[in-house]
Amino acid sequence: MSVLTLNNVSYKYEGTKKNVLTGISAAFEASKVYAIIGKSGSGKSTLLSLIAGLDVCEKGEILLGGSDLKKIDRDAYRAKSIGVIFQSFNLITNATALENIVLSMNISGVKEKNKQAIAYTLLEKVGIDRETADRKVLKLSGGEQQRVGIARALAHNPDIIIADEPTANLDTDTQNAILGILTELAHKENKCVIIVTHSKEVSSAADEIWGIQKGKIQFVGNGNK
Amino acid sequence: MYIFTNAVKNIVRNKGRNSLMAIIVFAIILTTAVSIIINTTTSAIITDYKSRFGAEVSIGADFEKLQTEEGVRNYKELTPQQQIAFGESDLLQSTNFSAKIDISPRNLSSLGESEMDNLINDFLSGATRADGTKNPETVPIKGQIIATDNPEANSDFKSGTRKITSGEMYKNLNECIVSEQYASLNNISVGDTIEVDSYYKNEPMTHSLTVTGIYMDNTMLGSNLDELSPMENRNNEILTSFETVVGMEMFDEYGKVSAQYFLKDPTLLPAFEKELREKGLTDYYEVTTDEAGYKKIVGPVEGLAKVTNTFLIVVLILGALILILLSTLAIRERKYEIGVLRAMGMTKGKVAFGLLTEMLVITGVCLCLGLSVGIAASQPVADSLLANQIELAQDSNTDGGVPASGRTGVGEAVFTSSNEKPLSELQVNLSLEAIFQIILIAFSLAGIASAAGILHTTKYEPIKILMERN
Repeated sequence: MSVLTLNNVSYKYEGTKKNVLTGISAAFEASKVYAIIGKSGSGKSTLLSLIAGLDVCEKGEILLGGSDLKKIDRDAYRAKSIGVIFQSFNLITNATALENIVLSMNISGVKEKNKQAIAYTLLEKVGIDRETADRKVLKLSGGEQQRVGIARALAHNPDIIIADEPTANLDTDTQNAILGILTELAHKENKCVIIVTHSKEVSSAADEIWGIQKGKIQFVGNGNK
Repeated sequence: MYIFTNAVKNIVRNKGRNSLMAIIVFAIILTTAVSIIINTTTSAIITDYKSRFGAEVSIGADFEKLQTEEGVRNYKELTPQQQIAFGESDLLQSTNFSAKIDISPRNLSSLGESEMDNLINDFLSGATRADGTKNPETVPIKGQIIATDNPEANSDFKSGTRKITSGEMYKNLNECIVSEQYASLNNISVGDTIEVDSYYKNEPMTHSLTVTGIYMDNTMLGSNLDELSPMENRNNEILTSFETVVGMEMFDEYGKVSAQYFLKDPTLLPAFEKELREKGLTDYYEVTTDEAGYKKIVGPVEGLAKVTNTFLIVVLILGALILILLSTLAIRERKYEIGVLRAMGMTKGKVAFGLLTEMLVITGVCLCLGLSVGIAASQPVADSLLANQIELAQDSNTDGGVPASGRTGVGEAVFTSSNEKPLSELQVNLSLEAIFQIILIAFSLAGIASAAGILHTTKYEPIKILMERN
């Protein structure tokens, strides 16, 4: 059963005439990893922004369990239903890794009292030790920041995880580790993982691959299967 | 709660920017506190000056009008009854009345009496004047009854020139005090009753007074009393209350009143003059206050208050503008952070509340510091201000700048000013009202400064902020 459904979604930026996305229809299911691939400017990041509730589509609808994102509280949607891993990390840079995770949990309304302990565990899960967790994000490497970004996306235990080039600029070992975490989340914890990527390694690890070109879905194929 | 915690952490995370903000907020709060303290002080000084000699009214003849033929023909001296009636006004803060009546007690002797007085009186009494009319037939004047409506304010007793040596000051109707020499000459003791008579020869008016005290007059010490006439010798003065004199039959005919009127505020002069005209004061009299003297004393303090107010307004406007500018720049700088928070699902309201909380916490800390320094500085500032004003007032007194006129009709000056004691020290306390004003101003500024930044930021969607940055 699909957790997120796109019906004939079109989008164009303000002040432009050309559609970035045209008539996209798709359904995302739980327990699966989806890879969205395409050339630069094909519209895949824009599609991710719409799915992440950071923007709204001009035409069509994006349904979360039957409810149109345009009509629901998108702040609450971003806070509780999805976890986003940004290509450029988008962390609070003058706060520590731990503070980033705890803040995300607070915004999402996580009730647990021992948020710091949960955050440390999450960070350890993505390969960040306690010492690194207490350092300011600015003083972490790109790979470490990406891991913190992943931990933050998982902090409030969302049903959908969206990742924009999560392994870009990472070494092979780190890339494999992160991919392992994401696929494990889908297959063992029943999350729906949607990844925008250029990487063949990432797309080959996905359950489904969607190819986007000029704002339209050109093909849908199997990944690891 | 987490918003507050995060706001406090953010203040620490951005030390540089927040320190600059805090310095400006502290400077504004300190300036506001000192300005309000100065205002409180100057208000107290102004109130004091007003109560002492701020609005003493002078009723005097208009000499320009009196030079006309019509003026000479129609001018009439104010009657004691008119002067007393003028004092019955709601516009007045206080009045001082004094009165005197020339007397010639038949059964009492006067100090300095001589045959020469009798000869001069005989010569003048009943004599024909140049216009054909005749002088009234009189006996020599042997002294005066002097009355005041407030014995405590009598300058002679206040300054110690005269003092009671036996008995006590008159309190009730028809009581009086006499000098030691006069009592000795006439064998008068405390408790005795004396009779005073008018100086008209035929059918003199008589009034009985009970002596309650004997006074000593220091001004007469060392004088050659034998050379003074009875009118010149102050020891012949019988002192009594104004109420007693007003009740005497001879007062209506021979009484002369001196009056001082003190307005509640100098600006009430036109209204008071209108009242006086309605009560029968003719155009041959002009009603004035010693405005120049008043302004000389109160003017600098009022000027200081005005300058302080203007300074406060300028500081508040400039401070608010600087805070808005700084806050807007700071928010622009933090646009990315706000974008991240919004992308994580924080609502616009919570983002705004977080930003506002940061500003309020900074303001709260600065408020405590500013108020503490302000309270510590208030007394020295007030003392310094007051010292300058006292010096200025003393200089003005030396120059004759303090108004001491204002008596009407003819008569001896009994009062030199109102009865208020001069201001010598001022205990400054920051009142609750003043503290509330400072808090209100501080938090209003914080609110205005935050609002500008919040409005600027929350109009953007998070994706736009993040895309701009990325």
